[in-house]
Amino acid sequence: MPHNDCQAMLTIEHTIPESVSPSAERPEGIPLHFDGGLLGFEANKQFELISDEELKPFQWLKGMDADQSFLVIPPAFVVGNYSVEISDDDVALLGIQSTEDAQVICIATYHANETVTINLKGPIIFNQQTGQARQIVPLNAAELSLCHPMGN
Amino acid sequence: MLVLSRKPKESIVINGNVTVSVLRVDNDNVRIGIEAPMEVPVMRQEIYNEIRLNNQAAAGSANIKPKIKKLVNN
Repeated sequence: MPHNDCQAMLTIEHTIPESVSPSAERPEGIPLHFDGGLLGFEANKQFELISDEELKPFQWLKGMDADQSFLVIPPAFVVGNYSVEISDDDVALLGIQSTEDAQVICIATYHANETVTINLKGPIIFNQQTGQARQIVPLNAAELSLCHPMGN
Repeated sequence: MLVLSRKPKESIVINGNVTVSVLRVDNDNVRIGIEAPMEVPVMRQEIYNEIRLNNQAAAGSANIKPKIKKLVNN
């Protein structure tokens, strides 16, 4: 199957959910499995997405294979009109049947100058029915920022 | 590094399941086609590198909770 840059089966218009699903309130977190790991950390595949009341709307993506935690945030809290185009292969790999299955989170970086930037270019997509997750490069990556400043 | 010469429309097979084909050569621009199983991530190296470096910079975030808390509350 040839890779086609122009093909996008699914576009996710990410909006803030009106109600929080019951699973998001579980204190033990939502298990997420990354078959391919995160880029640069390919060996670490098992994570939990953990809510933190004090840091809302940030959450923790906590590594189970390694002592490693990422601060993450749904992109709707960062920019108003975020949408990612996901390739057919990624949709198939994650077993996404409808846009409601797909959740998007982005990794936050805290910098020495006390600013926080959000990676909108390499978002994490997960299937909330199965916990299958992948950090993807969207087909529209060229128009997305790697270091979007938070709070501006 | 293994170095091979290929002409347009010729290919290289890697591991029996990844095929890299030279589609067109146009001055300093080479158009490449890649066929790989969908679980094999394929991306431009500069994009892979910038996201990898960003992930590595973000990985140490756990010990900065008080600072993030301050930022969230402002």
